[in-house]
Amino acid sequence: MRILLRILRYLGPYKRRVVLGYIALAIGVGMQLLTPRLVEYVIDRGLTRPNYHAVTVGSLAIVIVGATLGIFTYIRSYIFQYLAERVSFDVRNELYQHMQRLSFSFFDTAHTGQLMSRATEDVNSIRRFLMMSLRSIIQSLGMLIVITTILLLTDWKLALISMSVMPILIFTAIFFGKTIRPKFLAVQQQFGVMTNVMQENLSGARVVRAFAREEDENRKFDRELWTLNETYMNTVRQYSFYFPLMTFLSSAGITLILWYGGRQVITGSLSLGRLTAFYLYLTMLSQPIRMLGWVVNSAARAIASGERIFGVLDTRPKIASAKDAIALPSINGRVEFRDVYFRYEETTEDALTDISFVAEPGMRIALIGGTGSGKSTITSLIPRFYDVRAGSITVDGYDVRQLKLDTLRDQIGIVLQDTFLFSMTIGENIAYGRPDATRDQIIAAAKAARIHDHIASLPDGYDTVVGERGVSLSGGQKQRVAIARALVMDPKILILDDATSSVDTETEYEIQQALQSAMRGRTTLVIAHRLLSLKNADEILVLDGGRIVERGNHQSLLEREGAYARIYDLQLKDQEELAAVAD
Amino acid sequence: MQYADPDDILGKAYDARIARRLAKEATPYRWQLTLTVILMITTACADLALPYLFGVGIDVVNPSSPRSFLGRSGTAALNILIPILALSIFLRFLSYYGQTYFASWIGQHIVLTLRSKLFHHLQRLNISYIDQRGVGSIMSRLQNDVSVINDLFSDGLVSIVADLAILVGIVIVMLITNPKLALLTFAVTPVMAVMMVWWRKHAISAYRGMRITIARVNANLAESIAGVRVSQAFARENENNQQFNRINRDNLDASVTAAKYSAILFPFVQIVEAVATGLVLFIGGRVILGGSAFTIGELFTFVAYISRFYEPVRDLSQQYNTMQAAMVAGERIFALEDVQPEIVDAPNAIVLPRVRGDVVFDNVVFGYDSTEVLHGMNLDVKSGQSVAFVGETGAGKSSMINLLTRFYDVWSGAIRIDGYDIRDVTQQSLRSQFGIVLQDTFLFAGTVRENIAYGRPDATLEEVIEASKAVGAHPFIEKLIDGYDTEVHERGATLSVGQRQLISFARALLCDPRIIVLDEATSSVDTETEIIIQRALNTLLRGRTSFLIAHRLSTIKSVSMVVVLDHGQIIETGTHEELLERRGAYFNLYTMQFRAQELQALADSQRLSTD
Repeated sequence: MRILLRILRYLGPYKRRVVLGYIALAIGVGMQLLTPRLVEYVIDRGLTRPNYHAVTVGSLAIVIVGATLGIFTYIRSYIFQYLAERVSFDVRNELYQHMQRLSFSFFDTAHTGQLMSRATEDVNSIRRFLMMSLRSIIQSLGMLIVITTILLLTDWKLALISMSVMPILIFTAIFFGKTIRPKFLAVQQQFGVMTNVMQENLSGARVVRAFAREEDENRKFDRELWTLNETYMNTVRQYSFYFPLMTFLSSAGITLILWYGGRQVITGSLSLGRLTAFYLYLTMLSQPIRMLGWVVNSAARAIASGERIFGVLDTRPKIASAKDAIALPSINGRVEFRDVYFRYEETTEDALTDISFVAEPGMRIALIGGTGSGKSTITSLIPRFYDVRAGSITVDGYDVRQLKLDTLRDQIGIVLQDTFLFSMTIGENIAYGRPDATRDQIIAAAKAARIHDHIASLPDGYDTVVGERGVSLSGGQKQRVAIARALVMDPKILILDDATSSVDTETEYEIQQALQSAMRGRTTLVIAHRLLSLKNADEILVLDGGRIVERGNHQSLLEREGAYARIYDLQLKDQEELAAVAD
Repeated sequence: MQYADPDDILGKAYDARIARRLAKEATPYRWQLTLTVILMITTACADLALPYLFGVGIDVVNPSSPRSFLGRSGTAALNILIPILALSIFLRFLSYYGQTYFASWIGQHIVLTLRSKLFHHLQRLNISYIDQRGVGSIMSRLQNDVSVINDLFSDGLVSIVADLAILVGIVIVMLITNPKLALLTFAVTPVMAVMMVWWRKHAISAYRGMRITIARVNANLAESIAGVRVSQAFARENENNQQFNRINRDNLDASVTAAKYSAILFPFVQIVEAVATGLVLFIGGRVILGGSAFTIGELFTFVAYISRFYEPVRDLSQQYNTMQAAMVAGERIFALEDVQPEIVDAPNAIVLPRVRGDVVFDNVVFGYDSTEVLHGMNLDVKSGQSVAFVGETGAGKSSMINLLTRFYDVWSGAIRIDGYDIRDVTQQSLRSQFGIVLQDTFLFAGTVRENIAYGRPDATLEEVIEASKAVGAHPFIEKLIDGYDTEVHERGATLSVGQRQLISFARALLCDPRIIVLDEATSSVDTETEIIIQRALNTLLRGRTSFLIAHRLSTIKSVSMVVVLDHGQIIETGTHEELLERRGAYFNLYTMQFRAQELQALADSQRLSTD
């Protein structure tokens, strides 16, 4: 109920339209209720007691009432659809803006697919609820009450008899709405299971073929298909019984009218027209009652969806600019870690322990260590993607937590290993952090990143769209676009990961050049996989299990014959050996 | 109902060729289908009986001019009429129940068979088909398109038959009762038809606008979520919000336009109905007052039928969409079904006995589509030898491996194992001799044990452990929460890259293959794992003929033959040392990058000294 109210609160700004919608609805319902009366009028005043005038008036009135009904149905139908679309628009916007502000720790645990379904499926089920159910519930209840009243006032005995089936009808409708849902959910879930089996089979097709397991895969899939079939038939058994039952019950009411009312007409205590009106009223009721089951179902869905959406909206961004945050002035690029401890959410061990180092402006710091040693964690603390547990990180003497986030991040360039490009033009991608960059600035950055020549060779140059719908770039090319993207911001601090998956030798050379030119004149923290980055570093931090285990430059660390020397022997010597052969 | 989607794909609502194939899918259920149609007609008749019998009731009880029913009149007539009425509504209950149940049952069974058939078919298709089409697009055939076929059988056909039965029934009853008044009622139908045509035309484009804009909204959403880290790193939140707001608003505008059209259909039907009712009452009333044989009860039946008349008319236009969608879906499904597997066992294929492992590439020519990528490859590998393919991207390394495992067939020439042309043996017996380790170490959802035993599901736990120990995976598996019974999720996300590699080694080793095919992963792993992987590799290769796409120098150094490929040709073979001494292509390939590095370092030091 709380959630339902919160959903309804989104209608707040559109109160006048909501009221208008309900007024149109009320008028429409009123018109609908008039029709049986008019038929009664024609029969009783015009036909059983011959009167041409009454027939003419009654028929004309029916047309006018029908036309009015049509007009108001249009108005309310449009208004409720409008409201539903409007609220979906608002909710989507709110979700989007909120997700943009949520911190990295949120996205570490949330799945993209789930977040997507919040903004699509869940918003849609709220939209449906607002469009149909919000109207139907009022309409159904309203008609039920008004028709009952009219019938009771007209002829209470006949009313009671004909409406005796109503309670069963309403009960059945609500019972159905409630019980069918878990069954539909089971179908959805089993459909998901089947889809997963299929997706795995197709994604892992090579493995399936390689191990000649096709027959087993067939059997596995068929098993899931049969389970799906059974779950589905489970819902079929229920709804194929429900709909006929509802029709049966409302027809039973009509039979009762004829049975009891017919006798009364014969004895003269009920007019023929009134009997007809009863019939028409009763048929009119069956539709809204049938809707009740549907409404219950859709409200339950909307509530479940609302709960999930609000779950996201109520997550407060862990990292946000403090109220009294100051804007970071233009910096020189001094970065200092002082006794930093850090722990990821929902873990029990520190990911970083007692990290201290200073990067003076223009210095190159190389980070090396195995997976999980804390290299990337260190780099993600500087732009304040996460907050430290203890200790502090300062940029030019400012603690990053006192700063306005955007002024901090604006001065840091980041090139991650996974180079994500957006599906927009290459020019826009390069200018991502600085949308107002001029074409000259973009080209300058691309040249420095050694990607200009390639971009220029594309059919639309800088206006070529990349990504899923556009031209695909190789891993090495993407990396260089990402470097250009960082360079266009002309950052004083540069964070980069120099890893590349297997690329051709020529690309390798280009990337090397791009990396070197990017680092020039900036404080650089590089997650190093390449010998060159290590040799060129002013200081190498060797990490293991979240601690700095060794520090120094390449030569001094080699001489120490410790952890660094071990890594060198195993992973870097190849590079050295070949370099030696090349000489 | 008011928000029904009037079709995105413009296609024929009836295509004889596809309809015939769809009908073939339904043939196994022809008895159920016949029964369903009979039930539908019963329902329609019973449905129409209610207003008719009520009309008779009105005439029976009409005090001004009472009529008799089955020779009785007044209360006596009512006493027969009521049980008949009750019987007919009960009959309708049963037939309605039966028709809904059977229609869904048929739909579900057709869908089940179709999905199963398509899936089995996919298992026989070549990898290249899946590569080209993409997993997502193939999945959508089995998910969405098949569901559309379900809609057709369990809902569409039912509605069409039921609607037609009701329409025909109404027309017949009306014509019999009073032909003139009947024709008058039908006179409104053309207006309705014109309106529907107008509506369809506008609504289709309005809905299309809505679909296009919502697709953009979703695409932007997906990308924004996937790239949220980049956005935050570049402090782009405000621009993104504005951009999304713009796209979202386009969708709002399009949806509101669509709402204008979708809101108009139902009111229009209401007005048409009212006009028809008014007309019938007016004319019919006059006929009754004029003293003809027309009765109030019959007039009532007319009025009641009018409200039943326009519903099927409206419905049928919706069913047009279902038909259209089903034809398109059917076309896609059958197109998939018609794809012939390029690689099939020869009719007289023999079962390859356990081989020694002598492999010969004999003048092999091969390509993708029409582009030749391997130009006459000759390679003779003796049992137990290990071969590393090196070369730039596109040199033909992967093609060699794809051909050997017969994921593709050669264009000309032949590949022979122990003298058997691999096209003359069954694929099953061929592949079971291979241990294949791919670069992307794909693990299935299931336990670690199931994954290791993937190629030999009957392997005992001891055998699984033995294989794991041999590749050094046992220690970390033991430490997992449930050991060998630990569930592996989403492409093995809970395991590290190195651990997944070791599991895929164990998976290959457990089959005790004669020939190993390995595409070495390039991803960096930590030092400890690196050592274990290198040891595991040695275990795996020992005593087996092996073909490697190698990325690690240590691996290349350990093989008995390095084969250097360039543009689909073998340009050098020999051991690592021999090739380095030769100072040829291999030497250039593997030294260029480091020379480049050195040059750069030199340039940098010069820069530093001049700064």
